[in-house]
Amino acid sequence: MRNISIYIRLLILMLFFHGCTKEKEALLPSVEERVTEAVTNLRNELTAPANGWRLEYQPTNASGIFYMLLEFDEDEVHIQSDVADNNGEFFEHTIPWRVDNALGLELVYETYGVFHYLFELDAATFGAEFEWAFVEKAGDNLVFRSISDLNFSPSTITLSPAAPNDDSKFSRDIAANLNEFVSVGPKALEVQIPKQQIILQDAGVSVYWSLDATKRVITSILAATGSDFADPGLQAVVLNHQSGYILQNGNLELLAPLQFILDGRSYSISAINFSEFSTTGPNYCIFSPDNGPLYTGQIAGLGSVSMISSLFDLEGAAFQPITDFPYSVNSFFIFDESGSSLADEGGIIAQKFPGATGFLFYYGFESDSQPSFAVGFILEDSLGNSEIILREFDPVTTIGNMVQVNLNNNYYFSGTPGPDDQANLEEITNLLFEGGDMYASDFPVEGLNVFKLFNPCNQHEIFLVQ
Amino acid sequence: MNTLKYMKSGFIYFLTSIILLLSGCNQEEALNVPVNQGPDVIRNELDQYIEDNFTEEYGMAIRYRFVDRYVGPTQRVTPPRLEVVRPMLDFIDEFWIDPYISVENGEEFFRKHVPAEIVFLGGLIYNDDGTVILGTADAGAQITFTDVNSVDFDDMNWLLQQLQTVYHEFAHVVHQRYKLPNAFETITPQGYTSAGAWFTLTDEEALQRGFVSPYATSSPNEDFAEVIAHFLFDENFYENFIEAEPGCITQDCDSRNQGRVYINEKLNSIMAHYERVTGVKLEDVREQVQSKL
Repeated sequence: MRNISIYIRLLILMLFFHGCTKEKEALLPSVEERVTEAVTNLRNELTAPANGWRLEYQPTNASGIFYMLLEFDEDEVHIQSDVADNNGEFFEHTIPWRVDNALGLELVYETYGVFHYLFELDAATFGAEFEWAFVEKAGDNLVFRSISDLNFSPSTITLSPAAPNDDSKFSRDIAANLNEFVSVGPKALEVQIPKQQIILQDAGVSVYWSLDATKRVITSILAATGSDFADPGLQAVVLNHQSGYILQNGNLELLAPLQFILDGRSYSISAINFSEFSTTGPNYCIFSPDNGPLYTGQIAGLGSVSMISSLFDLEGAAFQPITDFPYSVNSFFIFDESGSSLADEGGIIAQKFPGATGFLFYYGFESDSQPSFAVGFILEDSLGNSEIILREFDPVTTIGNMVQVNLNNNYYFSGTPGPDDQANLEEITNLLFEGGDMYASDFPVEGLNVFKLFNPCNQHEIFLVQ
Repeated sequence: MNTLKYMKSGFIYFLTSIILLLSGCNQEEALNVPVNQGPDVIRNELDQYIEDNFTEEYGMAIRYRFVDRYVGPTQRVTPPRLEVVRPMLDFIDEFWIDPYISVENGEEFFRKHVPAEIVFLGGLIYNDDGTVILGTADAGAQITFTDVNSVDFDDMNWLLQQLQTVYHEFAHVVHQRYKLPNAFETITPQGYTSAGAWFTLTDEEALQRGFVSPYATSSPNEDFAEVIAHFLFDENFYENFIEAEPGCITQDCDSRNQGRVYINEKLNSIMAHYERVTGVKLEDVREQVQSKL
């Protein structure tokens, strides 16, 4: 029996070695070989299409879509995109790429390009990606998913074989022209998303929206009859609509059409076909020689449209006269066009009124001893004594969110003014209210009603707390 | 009974063999799976330039193609633009390698201690807590440059930031190999902050404690590296950190001057130690650096 046992052991050992060699060679290549084969296959797939790949890239569900064409060769990928930022540097660029094998096959764009630019937006929290995990080949398409999305539903990226004329679908001129709408509007202590007024000329209706050209998102705010808020018969409807958009074939196409009813009529906007861009739009400063942007086009079913910059702010329209007390703010919160406080070292307030502790805006204030409409400062001396100095302006009412401040030469001093106080106040208020038309907007602060008054002539901004 | 015993024994051998069969065949394969397919492969003229002038010359690999292991899983960063890599190499050559190899014993020291891996990153490293990292090093083996996409030799802010990074990280090599100067950590023992608390200090508070920066208070090692970095790149090092302010009439002024006394003690200690263990005079390196700024 002992001999039988030895034979059994020998047989098992032979089977063991046989299994480790023959089966492996016949049925299963090494992992290294399989990885190499998988990488090679994906590389071959990526480099195969004669016209490269078409990508409608949507980094997040909340964003719009970027149209791109990608052509891979052995080491580099030539990327065409409609991202107009950075003076169009991403319209066409070539960067190295590779396929890695880590947790699976990964397509990595190795040096900085359009995907990295989008990835870095909002301190790299926007949600774009430049490392893609290969998922599958679906028909002729290659499907990837984001590696860097940390949420439970990472973005899916689908490459489709490009047709020979797919480059004709680019609408880079629209992307570049929309970027021209960025210069107007308040920006101190907040990210500026420019607003526009879309005038449906045939219908006599305006839509007010904000357009984030970087993320390709439009937030519609209000639709109103006419083209301004001075119309006494104005009708309006508040819109609460947000949609991404894509630019292609000369159109700005909303991913979710905007629909509303105004004055008994239904409106639907799913795309604007833009035609002419110029800088002949309205100017919000009467002194400025430069006109704003104007983009004209057509909306199917609604006719001609014009798009111009707007300073309208729905919440800003709540900036109204108050009889009980003046608006006020710490004098630090008055900013120049670069976002620097005028009360900081070198600023005009610091120079003229180093003891200024507060800024006051009397807007319909009812008082027996003080003016109703005036602007000025609370000054504090080295002993801690306070004084109010004010310059009056003519009574006005707001139109929409526009506040006209026509300064006059009446002054108010709660104490004995210094020899230069009046002249200094005149100089500062002339600067802050140059042109006279100020635009109010809401600045969200929890527990407080805070507004900003924006001066389109010199881009100065004044925060005011109600 | 014996037959049964042998049959049992044979069955156990059979089972053992099957287990070996299933596990042993794949063991060897799993060890050699490549992590990636080649960020290190020479693919273009730039790669060849790096190979010739840095890798072969100094044993220094320059990584500019993105590999996600360069940062932690919760950190977000981009690779550099292709066109800034060459200027960044020139920066390394001009402001790091050249100042060291130009001084006595500097070339031998540099070649012997240069980190094996230099990583270029395009932007800043964004942490998930909202903070950003300007530059990192890993135990003397790797130096990471961030914000490489902003390369501009005329931008002093950018230039000084990069110089601080590289001199600071390269300084760590010395204490890692040769320890800190004798009793270095006893010069300002009360000034060091608890873990992670250094960023609550201002520059003024750090100086009063006897440190060239708030970050220097985080540990004796960082203190050592910060003194060297500031000594090399800061044109006004002596004015800012060594020379006493005259005519002090406030407590803050006295405290700053006392801090300067401590920093001077640290600097002298470091310079003597550095020269003793490396043969390099830091004053000579500073002179080289300052002549280029």
